[in-house]
Amino acid sequence: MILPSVSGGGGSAPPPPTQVTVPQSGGALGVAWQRGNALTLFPTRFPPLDRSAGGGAAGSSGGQTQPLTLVSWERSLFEPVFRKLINESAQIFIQLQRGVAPGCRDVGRDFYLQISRQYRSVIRDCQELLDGAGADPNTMAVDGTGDTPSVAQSELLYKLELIWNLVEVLVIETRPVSKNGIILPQLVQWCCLHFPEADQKARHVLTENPEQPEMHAHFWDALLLFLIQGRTEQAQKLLRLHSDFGNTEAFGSLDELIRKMPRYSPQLMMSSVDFDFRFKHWQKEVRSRLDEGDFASSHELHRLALVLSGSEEALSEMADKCETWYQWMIGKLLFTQPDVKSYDLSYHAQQAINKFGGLSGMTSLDSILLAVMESDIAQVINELSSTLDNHWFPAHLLDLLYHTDPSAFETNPEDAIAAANACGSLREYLILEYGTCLMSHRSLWQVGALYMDHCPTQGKYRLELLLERIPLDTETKANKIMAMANERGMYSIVGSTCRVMGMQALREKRIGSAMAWALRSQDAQFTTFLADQLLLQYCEEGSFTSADLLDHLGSSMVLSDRLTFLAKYREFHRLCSEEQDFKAAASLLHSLMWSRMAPKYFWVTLLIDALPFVSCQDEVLLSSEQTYELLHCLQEISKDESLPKKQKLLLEEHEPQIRLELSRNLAIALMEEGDEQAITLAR
Amino acid sequence: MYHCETLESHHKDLVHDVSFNWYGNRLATCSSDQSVKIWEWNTDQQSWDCSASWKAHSGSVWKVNWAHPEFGNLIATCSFDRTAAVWEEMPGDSFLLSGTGAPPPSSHGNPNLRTEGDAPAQSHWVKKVTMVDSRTSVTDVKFAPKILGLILATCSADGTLRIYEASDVMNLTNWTLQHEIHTKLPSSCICWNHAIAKFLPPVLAVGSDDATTKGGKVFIYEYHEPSRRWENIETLTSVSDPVHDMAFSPNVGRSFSILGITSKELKIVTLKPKNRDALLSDNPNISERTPFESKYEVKLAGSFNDHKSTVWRICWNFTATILATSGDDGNVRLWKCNYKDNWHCVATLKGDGQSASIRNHPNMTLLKDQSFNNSGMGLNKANANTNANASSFTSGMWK
Repeated sequence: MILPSVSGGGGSAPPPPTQVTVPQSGGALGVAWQRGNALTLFPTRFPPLDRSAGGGAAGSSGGQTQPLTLVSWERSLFEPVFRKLINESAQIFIQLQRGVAPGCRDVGRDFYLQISRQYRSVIRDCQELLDGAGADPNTMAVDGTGDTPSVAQSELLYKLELIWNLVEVLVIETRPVSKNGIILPQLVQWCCLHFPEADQKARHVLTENPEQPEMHAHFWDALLLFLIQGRTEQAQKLLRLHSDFGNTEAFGSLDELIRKMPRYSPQLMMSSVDFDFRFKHWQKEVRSRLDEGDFASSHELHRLALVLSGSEEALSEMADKCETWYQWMIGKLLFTQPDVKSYDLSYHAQQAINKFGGLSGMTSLDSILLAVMESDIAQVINELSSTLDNHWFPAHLLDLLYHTDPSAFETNPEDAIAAANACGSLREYLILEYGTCLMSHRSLWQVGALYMDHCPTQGKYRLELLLERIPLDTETKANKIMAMANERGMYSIVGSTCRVMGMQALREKRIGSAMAWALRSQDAQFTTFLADQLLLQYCEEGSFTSADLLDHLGSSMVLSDRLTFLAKYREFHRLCSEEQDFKAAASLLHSLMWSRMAPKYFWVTLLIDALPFVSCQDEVLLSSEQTYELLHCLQEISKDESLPKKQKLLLEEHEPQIRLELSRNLAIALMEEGDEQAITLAR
Repeated sequence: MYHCETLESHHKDLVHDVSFNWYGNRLATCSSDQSVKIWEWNTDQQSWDCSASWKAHSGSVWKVNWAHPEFGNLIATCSFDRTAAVWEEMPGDSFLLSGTGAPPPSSHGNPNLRTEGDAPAQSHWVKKVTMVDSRTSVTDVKFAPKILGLILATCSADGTLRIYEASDVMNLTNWTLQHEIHTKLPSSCICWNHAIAKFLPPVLAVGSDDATTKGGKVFIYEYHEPSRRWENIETLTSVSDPVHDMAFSPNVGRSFSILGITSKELKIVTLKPKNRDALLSDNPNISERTPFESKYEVKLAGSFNDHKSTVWRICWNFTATILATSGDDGNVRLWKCNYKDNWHCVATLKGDGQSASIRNHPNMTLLKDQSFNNSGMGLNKANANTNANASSFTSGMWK
């Protein structure tokens, strides 16, 4: 959406709101937010009025349809074709953040240049993907305009790359070195890279008129375009193809001049003054040859020579041959002020724009390029944000610029610290917006989370808010979210995720699974509830559904008393069935009840469980004291009014038998113990 | 670039409220036709399917609100029939819900194989409790932030605010009326504050749409632990026009709460704790003083009449970055706050005046503004045949 105004002045009016028309019957609209950038609108009536009160007369809307409109935005990146762009740019982003992290060795201009080039290459890759998709007849647009959306998007990416490249040339490559460095060679290269028109025309000339290229309509245009892009070798080659070359003096003369044209190159270690001197000298020679009438024989040659000489008039005429103001500006500077400094660029850009009809007739692209030339980064970002649907481009660009040179934000160096702060907060704002947008997507959310980690002020809060709203569709997803939250110390999310998953499992009657989640969340109340559920289930079915889990609880059983009981009770079963240690089993059973660890509703089951032990003929498994205590429990439970009805019925059914067996066991135990005592005494 | 999709609700009368669940993948609607409908986002078919629809009340249903998923799938509704109710989805045929769910019931088979004629799986919602304490229409119902437990607040046309608590989160049929507060003015809306710090007691605000008196229309209450009462800590005298809806901003790490209020115009109020130290050493003796003194510094942060008419509804996105309001001018406006805490309208959404026919506009581009391409002087792309003009990027709707 729209970004906070970054221009320092408090008085600057906010941009006018975007107007959007939605398919909805006018009148009053209600509104509700979804997760992410999505709203639902619905027609309604304000204030709400109950019609059923008015004698049931249906109002105007009665019987009509009640449509909801779901409005969403910033969704274009969610198309599959941008998946690669998103993933790869995230990798570059992380690489950059690692590179500039404190503690790393100082990274230089080359590092930033490399990052910048990687970003551009990702854009170009995506553009190629789109071109491929556009060529596929299956994806042809059906909107009737004949232009596929992918062509449009590919074109947009091309323009974005153009902007990025210019920023790279003017800000990343040049500025940190010297604000007074020579920039024209890079600009010329930028121009060549993006405007291959000269090559195209030359190719046409050569393929269509190989015999007499000069007869082709584009011959001279191509030649001129080569010259204003500073591509002297190509210009010479083309010139030599002219049939009159070699026959006429004039051609040789121009060829020589082109060859001699001094070129500034940083590799030559030429000083700016030195270069200026050579260039002036060369142009003097061009002018003297013009004055001598070297090129009087050919109008075209004369015009080209005039361009070389830097004649205002000829350069002005040349504007017709240029597609854009920047192409013309660069061509013109090449022959009038080849050592132009970056701070002068703004002036020349303005002039060029005026020449091409003023800014009012221009597109956002033009104004963004102008802002780049004016080094007004804030304006660049502002324009980009208000033009593009999402924050992918401005967020990555500003992030890189911020790391390269935070003060690039402000042209006034005195205010560098304030500028760096403003740049930092705008960077964070853009990254947050971009990351938030990704996190509303069902599979890109993990990429989004990476960006939040690099927002020092708000990133953590925002990530926490976003993470807890990611739909827990699958266990894998829940585990991923929990791992992510754990890494970042967001324990409340871990707990909450477990509880939600536990509730979900419970709703689906998967109590064992619910228990596993409850244990992970360390939620004692929930664990107790689930343990109760398992016990009730056992009461009904006579078997445990999640024996595995219970056998391997380990120390986590202490989370809740009920769970401890459950685990112990399970142990009792194991003692009986697997280890056949009936003596230990009987003791455990007794202690579970006598210590009152067992919930009351389960006592009946426990007493019934005790029956085989007390009716055992071979051996006395429970001592008289233990038996007595069990009888006490039986007494207590039979008087308990709060016992669930089902348990009560069960108790009524078995009580006589339990009482009988317990008494009998008590008698046998007493006898045996009496014998033992007698034997001991006798000894 | 705005993308629109129309969903026919099939309600037989006006829809009064629409509410998304915590994750935004389920939707509840309620209407004057006395029914409530639940919609599920179907990821496979990229569509909203109605999974349940039932008659919930015997009067218009005003509001519907989802509880946090930690408590299960719960909604609360309130109605002109003087009741509020809590509904829970019963386990069973809800395979649309999520991947972790039970395998699809055999009668439905593979969702991908489902034919057009098949009704979507019906989920089953059961009324857990009806709150019958109100003697007038119940105008709003809201679940408290989950940190407070499973608590529900309702407000009524007679100005009574009621707070209910589920005594056992696992047994939702048992709710107790914990507090009953009389605000003296007919209440229209209620909202909970998302506490900005854990040690701060819960706060909620009640608004009144009473047009006959002149005083403040927004009452802010705070739970006072020592006396176990909700105390009126503030009455916003700056808002004297009828209030229709309110919303506290979600907590995003700010040191203050933001309350959006819709009235004759949109008002944004901030609540900032006055003194953290004083709050921490809150001893019962201090609290004896009367009247109860506010612990918050309440400030009117902005007042906006962009709608140029009454503003009816308000809601925040959950990151608290955008505020949406709807007004009598038929517009929905989106508001954003810049880094200097200045609020301004960033977008307006306006109905096109045509009523419902299903129109989808799946066409999307990277642009939201055509001027970038609408080139005065063309920048021709190198190897693509270009004729960039506005229409090639948009369907007619978006010009």
